[in-house]
Amino acid sequence: MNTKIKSINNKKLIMGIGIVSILTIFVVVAAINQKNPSDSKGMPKSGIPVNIEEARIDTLISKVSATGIVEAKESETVYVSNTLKIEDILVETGDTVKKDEALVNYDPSFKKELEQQLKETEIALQNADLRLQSMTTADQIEILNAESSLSQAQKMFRDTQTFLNQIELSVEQLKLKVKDAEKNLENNKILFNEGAIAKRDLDESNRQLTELKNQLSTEEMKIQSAKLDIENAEKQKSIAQHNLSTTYNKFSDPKQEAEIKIQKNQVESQKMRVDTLKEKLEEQLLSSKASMNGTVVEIFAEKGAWINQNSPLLKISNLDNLIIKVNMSEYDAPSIEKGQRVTFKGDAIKNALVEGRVSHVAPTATIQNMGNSQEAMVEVTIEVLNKDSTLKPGYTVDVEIITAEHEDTVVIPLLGVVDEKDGTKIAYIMKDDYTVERRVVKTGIYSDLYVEVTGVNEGEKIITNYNPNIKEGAKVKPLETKTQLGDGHDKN
Amino acid sequence: MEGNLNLNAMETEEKPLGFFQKLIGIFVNPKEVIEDILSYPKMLLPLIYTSILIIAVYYIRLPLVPITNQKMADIYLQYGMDLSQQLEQNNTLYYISGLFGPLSLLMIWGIGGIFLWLIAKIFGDKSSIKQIYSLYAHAFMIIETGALIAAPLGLLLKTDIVIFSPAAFMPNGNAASFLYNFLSMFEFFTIWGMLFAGLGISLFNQFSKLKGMIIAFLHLLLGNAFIAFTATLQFLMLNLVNKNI
Repeated sequence: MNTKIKSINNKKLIMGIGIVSILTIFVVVAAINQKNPSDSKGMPKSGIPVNIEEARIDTLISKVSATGIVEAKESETVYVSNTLKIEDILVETGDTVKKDEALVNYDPSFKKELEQQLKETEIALQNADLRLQSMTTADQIEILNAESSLSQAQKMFRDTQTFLNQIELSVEQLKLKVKDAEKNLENNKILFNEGAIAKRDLDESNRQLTELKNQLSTEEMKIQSAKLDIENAEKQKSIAQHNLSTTYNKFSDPKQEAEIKIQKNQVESQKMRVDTLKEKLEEQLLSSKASMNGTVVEIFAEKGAWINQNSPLLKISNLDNLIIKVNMSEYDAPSIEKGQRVTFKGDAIKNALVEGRVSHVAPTATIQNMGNSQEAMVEVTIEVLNKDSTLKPGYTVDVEIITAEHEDTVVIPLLGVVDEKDGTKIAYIMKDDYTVERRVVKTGIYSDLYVEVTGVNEGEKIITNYNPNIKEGAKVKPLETKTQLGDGHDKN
Repeated sequence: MEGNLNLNAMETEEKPLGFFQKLIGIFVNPKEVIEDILSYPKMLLPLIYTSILIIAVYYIRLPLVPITNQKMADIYLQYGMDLSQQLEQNNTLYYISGLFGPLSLLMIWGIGGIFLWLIAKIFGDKSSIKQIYSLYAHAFMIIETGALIAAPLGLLLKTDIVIFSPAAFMPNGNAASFLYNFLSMFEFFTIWGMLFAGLGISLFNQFSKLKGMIIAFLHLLLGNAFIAFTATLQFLMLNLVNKNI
């Protein structure tokens, strides 16, 4: 019994000691925590509680973040120009191919049929061409006859002209002779009247004149006849010339002209058909070959299947040159320029350093739906510089475009800058006597959490939890002071 | 039901314990005190004792009020409200308000007691509400005795924190935060008091000790959460207002 009571008492004693020990621990801890070392440095026991971070000299990198999808810079899809049956696909996805390397074999029957059609059309073209030539080119004999007729007509014209000239000359001579005869008759009349000559001589003179006049009259009639002959000869020459011209150029015949036009159209039509068939053959040849050096990234068809006209057959990409396209908001876009350095993050990259460069900034923005609102976005193309990166087309990566980088500059937390209504930027600084100084500052580039400022010196204590009670001269009580680098700092 | 529970006490015809016996007994022999409560569920003297202690603790801790006020003023300053002057001007009120401590005790005891009874009922408790109230009043004796021990220590250390609570381990605890307030209420003697209450419920109903403790600690958890929420509600509201601005 006594042992039991003793055991209970011991138990209670141990519990009592335990309780006292626990209470002592609480008291000691409370006492230690009460002795805050900052109290001894003159920190006020009251004041507006503030968070403090010291301004420091550092490198500030301004970045713009976005998410994009990796794409091959050069990519081509091979399309089928005709509905074809694929006999064999000679490559697999991932295969490296060179330009003009055969990719597929099509069912040859289509090609044969096409070649047959081409031959037939070429023959039809030849026939049409020959017929056109026969319609437009003159016959040699016809030309010779026409030329001969023209020559004869011209000769006749010339002969008649010569004859006319001769007659006219003869008429002129006769006219002179008539004049002489008339003069002679007049003289003989005078001589007869004076009795110098006999009547027989006078009559003779009179007869000669009459005879000459008759000759002149006959010759003048010949002139009229010759002139009519010349007119006829001219007409015949014109007819011969026209005939020759018609023989040379059969287009002058309206009926013939229409037929020639029809024939010409037929020739053109056949030519076009030939060209189309040749193109089809060429396209079939091209659609079975690689259009560029690269890697087969996608095959859209299957062996033995029919593939429709203008359907994609396979896609070839140059995986050595990758790009990433990202959409930047109109807020971020103005700070992005061609040539800016880019770093990537993503599940596929892990910790590997992959870098890029902005290669293109779209000149125009596009409106994109963002949930219930619309936002203007600018497409930015980034070229991946690491040829040996683990990136593959289709990966999603987070990109950080480094828009600015300033070394050895004074940086303070963004929370330490207060924007006033008039746009003035203010930093509230805790002085050594725990009072507040309101200071106008100028800001430079930003990172996520920090900003470059002028007007603040390294080591000055910036209040980062501003509220309207924090004014010039107000007494503050720092809750914590940060001197470590924050998230916004990057040093690559 | 109650008759059955009191039957054993009637049969034994033991004399009820004196107040001072119970005062010592709750710390060193709680089982004996609980059995006495079962037979004689008294509550007047424990409440008077606790009330006296509340007033005493209040006035012992009075010099710490400026520390608490400063903390509160600092917190309000963060929300752009300067209450430092108002808090200083109300010094005379603090002397008077200490006398109202017993009223708040009665309120907490009244509400907390019925709350404990309800939780116990959910777990199949068969004791009377009078027995629960008596048990709860005796638990208050432990809690307030602990407060009496802590008060001069706080004065000595010039701290207004609840010394025997996890708050002692939080030097920069934010009095506006729910967690800080919630943990502050897990004070050593409060837990002891609830251990006593849990033991009492298990003995009243011949429950296992674990079941009794679960009931008591459920009450403690929910009660503390409710009080901590009420204490920090104004700051939650201020946070919401500031966010909307």
